[in-house]
Amino acid sequence: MKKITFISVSLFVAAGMAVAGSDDEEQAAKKFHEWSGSRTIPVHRIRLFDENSERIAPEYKQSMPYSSRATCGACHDYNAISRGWHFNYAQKDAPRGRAGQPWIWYDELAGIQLPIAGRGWTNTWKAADAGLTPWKFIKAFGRNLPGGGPGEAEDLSGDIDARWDLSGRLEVDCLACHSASSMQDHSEWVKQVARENFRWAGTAAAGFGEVGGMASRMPSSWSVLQGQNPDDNQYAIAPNVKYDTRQFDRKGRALVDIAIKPKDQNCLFCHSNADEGKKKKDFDVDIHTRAGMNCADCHRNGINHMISRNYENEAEHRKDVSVAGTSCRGCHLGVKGVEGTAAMGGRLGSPSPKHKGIPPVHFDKLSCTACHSGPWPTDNLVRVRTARANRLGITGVANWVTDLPYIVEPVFMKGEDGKIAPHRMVWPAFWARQDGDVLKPVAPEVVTNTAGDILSCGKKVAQILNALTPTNDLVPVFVVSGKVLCANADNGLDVYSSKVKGVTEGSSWALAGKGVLSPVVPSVLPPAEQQDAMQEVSGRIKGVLKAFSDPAFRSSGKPLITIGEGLFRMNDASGDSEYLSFGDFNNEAKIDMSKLVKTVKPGQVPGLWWLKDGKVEPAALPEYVVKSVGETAGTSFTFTEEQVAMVLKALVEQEKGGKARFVYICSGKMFSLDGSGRLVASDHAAAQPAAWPLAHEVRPAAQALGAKKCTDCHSASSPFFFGKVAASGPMKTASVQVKQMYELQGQDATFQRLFGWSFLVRSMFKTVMFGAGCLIALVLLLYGILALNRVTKFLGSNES
Amino acid sequence: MIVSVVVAIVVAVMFGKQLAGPVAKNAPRPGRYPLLEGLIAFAMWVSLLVLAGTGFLGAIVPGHPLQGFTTLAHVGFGAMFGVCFALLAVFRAEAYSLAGQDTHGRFSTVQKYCFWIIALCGLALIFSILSAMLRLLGTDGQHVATLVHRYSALVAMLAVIIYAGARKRS
Repeated sequence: MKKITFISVSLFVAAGMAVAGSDDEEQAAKKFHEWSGSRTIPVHRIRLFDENSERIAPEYKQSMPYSSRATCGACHDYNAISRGWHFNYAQKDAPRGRAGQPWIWYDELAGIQLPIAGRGWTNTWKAADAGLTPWKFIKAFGRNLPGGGPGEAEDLSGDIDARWDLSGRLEVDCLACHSASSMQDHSEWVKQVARENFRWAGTAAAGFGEVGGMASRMPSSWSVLQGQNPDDNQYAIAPNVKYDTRQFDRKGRALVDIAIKPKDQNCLFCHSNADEGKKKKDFDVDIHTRAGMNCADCHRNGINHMISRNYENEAEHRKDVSVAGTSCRGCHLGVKGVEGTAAMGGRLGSPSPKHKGIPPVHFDKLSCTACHSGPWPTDNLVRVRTARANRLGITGVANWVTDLPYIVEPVFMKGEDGKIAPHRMVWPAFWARQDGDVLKPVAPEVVTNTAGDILSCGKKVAQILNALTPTNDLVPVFVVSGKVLCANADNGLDVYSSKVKGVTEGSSWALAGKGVLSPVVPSVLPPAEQQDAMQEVSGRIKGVLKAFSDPAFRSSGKPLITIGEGLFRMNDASGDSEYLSFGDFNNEAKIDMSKLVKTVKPGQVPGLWWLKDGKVEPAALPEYVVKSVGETAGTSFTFTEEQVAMVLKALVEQEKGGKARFVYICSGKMFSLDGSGRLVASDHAAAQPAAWPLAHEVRPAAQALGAKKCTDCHSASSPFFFGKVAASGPMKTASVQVKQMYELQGQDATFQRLFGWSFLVRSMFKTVMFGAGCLIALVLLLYGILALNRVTKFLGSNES
Repeated sequence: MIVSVVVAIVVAVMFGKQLAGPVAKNAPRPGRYPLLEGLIAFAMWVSLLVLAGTGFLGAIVPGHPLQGFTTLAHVGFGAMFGVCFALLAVFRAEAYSLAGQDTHGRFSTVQKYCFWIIALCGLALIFSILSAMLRLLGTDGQHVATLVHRYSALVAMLAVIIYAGARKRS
C-alpha cells in the first residue's frame, strides 16, 4: 500500500513538475514575444545547440549540426512559429486563403507537371492524392521550403523509400528568412537538401561551417550516431560539419546576425519571377521597392508567423481586421469602419490615388493589380519563370534553371473574389489511371520504366552525337526536318545553327563546321596515292566505328560502314578499323549479304549497319524517334502524340489483365486511346489549369492600364478582353484548349467589341454632348436674364 | 433594353400627338417649322422613354442593373436626348417662356414650369455624365457626379410625368 502511495505521489510530483516546466517554457517564450517598445535589434551572440539540445563545441570534430528548434526555440515560441503560413500548408486544418502559386511536381522525361497544394486551391492536387509522400514531397520541393511542415512532422505514410533516420528532420530554418548575414547561402541549403542532408542544411546555409558527405549515399543501416564511415572516404562519406571556429568566441558563442524584418533578398530567393527573355538590365523593380520599401513592410506577421498576403478580402478570410490595413486599398485609401491611424490610408506615406476619369464601376469589377501589376497585356501570353517552379537563383557548377514547367502570365480572369485580376497559369500534364470519371496520377518512375526508350528520343540521338567525337573543328550533328541539331552537355539536343548550308529534308548524321555540312564518312574512298586524304577518311571512319562500338549500343550489334563494294569494321584484336570487300566479308562471316549488296551499290552514299546474330540490318533510327526529334527539338515540347499513344498502350499492357484505362492530361485536354488504338482528345475537369493572382511587380501609376487612354482595354481587339489563352504542355498536339480572356472574365464578347468600337466615336460624342449642354445652358441663361429683367423692373417700379 | 426601345416607340406613336403639342380644335399657332419641331419632339420623347426604361429598370427590377447592352443603349439614346432636347429648347423656349405675355398659348403654366425644370435637370444630367467621362473628377467626384445624374434624372422624370399629365391650354 505504502509502495503504491509512494509511486502515486512520485508520479503526481513528476507530472506537476512537467506541467510547471512547460509553463516556464511558455512564460520564457512569451517574455521575448511581448515587445518592450525598443526598436533596436538585440545582438544575438548566442550558443548553438544541436537537435538533442546539447551545446555545440565548434572545435570538436564530431559536432552535430545546429538545430533551430533547440537554439532559436530556447527563447522563441518555435511551436507557434511552425504553424505559420510558410509551414502549415500540409496540416489538415490549414487555412485556405486566396489561391497562391502551387508547387509544380515536374518530370521532363515523363512529361509531368502537376500543380500541388495542401490548401485545396482550385485545380491543384493534394500531395498525398498525387502520390507524394512527405519524404518525396521534401525531396522534390525542399529546395525552396524554409523547413518545417512535412519536413519535421511525423511521417505516417509508410513510405519504404523514406530515409528520415539518415537525413534527419528538415527543421524550420529561421535564418533562411531572418539572417542578415552576407554569408547566408540559400544555394547551399538546396545542395544539402538534394544530398538528403536535411539536418545539416541549416548549418551549411548559415555558413557556420562546412558540411561534407551525403546522406543519400549512405547505406540504410547507417545512423548519425555512428559518425564517419571508416571503410569509405571516397564515395559513401557520412554527412559531417566542420565549424568555422573563427565565428565563435571563447565561450563558444556565435554572433548570429539577425534581421527581425527579413531582408528582401531572403524573400526573393523563393519569390522571384522573371518574364522569359527579359534582360536583367531591362528589369524595373516593383515601384514600392523603388520607393525604399521592403517586402516585410507590407507582408507583416506576429510571432505566429501568419504573414499577411495583403489581398483585398484577406481580413475576412483571416477574421483579423488588422491585416486589411496593409492591402493595396487599405494602405492607400484606408479601411472603412475601422478606427486608428493604421486604417486611415496614406500609410507609410502611400499616395492617395485620384483615379481621375476612371468610372467607379472599375473598382467594383477589377482588383488594383488588374491595372497596376504584372506585364502589360499582349495578344499572346508571356512565359514566366518563377524561382520555385523553375529553380531560379541556385548558383553552382550545375545549371539548375529549368525551362519547364511552362507558366504564363498575365491572364486577366475573374478571381475568387469575383474581381478581374491578372493571374499566372499552368496547365497540368500527367499520366493517370482512369476509373470512371476519377483520375489517379501515375508516378513518374512508373511511366519512365514502362515507356522504356519511347519518351527519350532526344536523349538517344544525343547519345550517338556525343559518341561521335568532334574532330578538326567539326561538330557531329543530326539533320532532321530542316533542323541541324547538336548534343548539349545535359545529353539533350540544341539547335546547332540556322545558318548551315547543305541542309536537306529527311534525316542524316553529318559533321558541321564553318557553316557547311559534310557527311560523317565520304561516299567514295580517295585514291590510294592521296595519302593525306586517305588518312583523314580512315581516321573519321575509325572514329565513327569506335563511337558506335560504345557499350551504349552493344545491344544493337557491331557497327559496319559500307563504302563502294566493301565495308569497314572494327578489328577487336587490333582496335583499329579494317576494310573488307563484300566477298571476303561474306566468306568470313558466312551471313546473308543479299540484302546489303542489293541495297548498297558502288558510288552510293555509305551506310551504317549493325551486324547482329548473323544478320545485317540498317542502323537507322526508328521512325518515331526521327519524327519526335524533328518535331520537338529546339521547341518547348518534349514528345509527340505518337509517343503518347505508344506509352498509353505500354501502360495498359503492363497491367495485369490489360483492362485498365490510362489517359494523358495535357494542354487542357484529356488524351486517351479509342477502340482502334488512335489517340483522341476530350475535355475533363482535371485538365483545367491552375491559376493564381499575381501582385508584383507593381508598376508606377503612369504605367497603369488606362492611365493614358481608355482604349488600353476598351477596343475591339484589346488583349485585355480578346487576348488568347492557349494551353501548353509537353506534348506537341493540335488539340489544345484555347480560350480568350473575356471567357475567363465572364464577359460578353459582342458587348465588349461594341463597347470598344464606341470609343472610336467617343470624342465626337463628348463634343456633341458638350455642345448640347452649352445650348441648353445658353437658353436657360437667356431666359434667366429675361426673368431677372422682369424681376428688376418689377422691384424698381411702383406701377401695378 | 429591347423592351425599353419597343415600349418607347409604341408610347411615342400612340401618345405622340398629345405629348408633342396642341390637340384642341382652335389650336394655338405652332412654331415656325412645325414638321421639324415635331420630328425633334418625337425623337426626344422616344429617347426619353428609352432612357427612363433603361435607367430606372435597374433601380426598380432586381437583377437588371445598368450594365452591358443596357448601358450602351442608355448612352446612345442619352446623346440623342441631349441633342434633341437642346434643339427643342431653342425651338420652344419662347413658347415655354414664363415672362411677359403667353406668346402662343400652346402650353399650360404647369407644363411651362415642368419644361424649365426638365431643362435644368437636363443640364445637370449632361454635365454630370460628361464630367465623369473627362479626366476631371477623382473617385469621390465620380460618385458625386453619379448621384447628381441619378437624382437629376429622378426629378426630370417626375417633371415629365407631370408635364404629360397636365391639361393643355384650350
